[in-house]
Amino acid sequence: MTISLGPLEIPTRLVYDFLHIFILPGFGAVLILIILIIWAERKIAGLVQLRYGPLHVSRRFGGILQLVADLIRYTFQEFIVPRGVDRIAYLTGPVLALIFAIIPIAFIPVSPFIEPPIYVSSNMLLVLAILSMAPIFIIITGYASDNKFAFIGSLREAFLMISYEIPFIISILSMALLFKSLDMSVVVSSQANYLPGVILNPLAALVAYIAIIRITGRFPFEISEAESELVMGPYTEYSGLMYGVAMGIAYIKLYVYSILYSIVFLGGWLPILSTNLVESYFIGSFIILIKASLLMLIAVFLRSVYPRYRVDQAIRLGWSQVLILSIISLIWSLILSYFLR
Amino acid sequence: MHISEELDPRIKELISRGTDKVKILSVKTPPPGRVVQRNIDALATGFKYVVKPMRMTIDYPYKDIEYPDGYRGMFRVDADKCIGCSLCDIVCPADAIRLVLRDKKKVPTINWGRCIFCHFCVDICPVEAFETYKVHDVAFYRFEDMLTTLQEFTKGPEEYTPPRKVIGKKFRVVIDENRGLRYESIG
Repeated sequence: MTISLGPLEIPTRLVYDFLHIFILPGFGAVLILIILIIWAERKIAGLVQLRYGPLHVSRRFGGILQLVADLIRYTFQEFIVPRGVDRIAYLTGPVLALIFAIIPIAFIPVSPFIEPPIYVSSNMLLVLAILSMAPIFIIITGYASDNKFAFIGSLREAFLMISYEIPFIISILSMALLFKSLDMSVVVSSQANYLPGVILNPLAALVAYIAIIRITGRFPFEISEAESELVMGPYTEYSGLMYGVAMGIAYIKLYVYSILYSIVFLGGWLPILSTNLVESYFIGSFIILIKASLLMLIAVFLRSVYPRYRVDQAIRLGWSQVLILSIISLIWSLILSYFLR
Repeated sequence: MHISEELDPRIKELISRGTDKVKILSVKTPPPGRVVQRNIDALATGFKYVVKPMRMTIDYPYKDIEYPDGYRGMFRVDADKCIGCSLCDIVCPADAIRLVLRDKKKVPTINWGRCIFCHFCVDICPVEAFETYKVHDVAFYRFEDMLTTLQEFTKGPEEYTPPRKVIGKKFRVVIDENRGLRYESIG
């Protein structure tokens, strides 16, 4: 459903690609949303635990600039490379994990009329593939750190990654089966024809959300970075700016997964009424942003409610209930796709 | 393999004494409907606190609590009342009180770095030579400032400690039946 622009085709695309990557679903939105969501996480945890949460920096706005202050501190803090680490893997691991967490934004469409900067017809599969790369670098960092906490944390990450990526991919692909397409814009337009994916296949939505909470390391599955057991999990040895990067990875992953979830299950840009090219881009991506930030808010809210699972409990849950539910959702999609022609 | 072979020997001993005296607790996972209900209850409780906050902490330097009478804050000594019995030094659990000679009489001075504000010295004093204040939140600039001389210790804490930067209103703690504690503004 693309609109031909004639001679203005190439400049429009360039401007749009720039906006996509650097402003709206890209870096700018990521940075602002992460600052807001970490603030919200700390504030919600404070409220539930009968205290204030961050407040001192910018009191008038409820301490919303606390994270900016933290970011400045991390940036200028000394970055220590311990003796005995595998230097190249130690330095590149978190950076590569960050890059592979943020790349999928370039493939995700946010508007009905314009293609994403890099258009691939089966972009849902590609996004899944790139997203499942990121934990590998976390395992490498844990191995390279030469620290027992980091090593145990990365091993836990590996176990849990395997036991929850598979149900996640099955549940997302069951939606692809239901809509008979791996293209996200087709998935959204077919949701416009029928109903949002969360109503068509609630089981897949549930499984995918549980898997997102695990993959991005939120409670009750914050097992690989368990603070009370493994200081900071795979990132124990990092300090300064690299610690900030390591902390950001989980939130960027949460952001990208939430966008993917809101496109596949919540109808993406759907209650969109405008047919204008520019308006559809801004409004569409803003609607996706709101949906994704709601999902992120729920995910960070869980921190204040749930305790942490043991490793074996989480793995058992992943390989039994969650996997079975995802397979049931796949079968339900098969049955339903027979009727949705 | 039979199950009883895997059991701990202490449990086997207990079983051999007679099964009627041994209680083996079996932990069952609750049925799935119950699990879902529990999770929803937990989330609802958390959400209730987010929407309707019940903060127990007070925003301290911006709000201050009016402390009750008999509050264990800082104190001063009346050197003329003191009879030099040195009971305060003996009873002090933190070894904060140091006695100095004045007019052939041992008079206490205090190290605020060590004092734990237990008021044992105030309670044990036979002539009630200590006068108590409600000040407890004092930060000294230097370590040496915490070692008071007798001249300082005979004055009230406001006269020799750095000024406190407590701004804003005073609050009083009120017991509330619904939420435990409540802070009530005064003045």
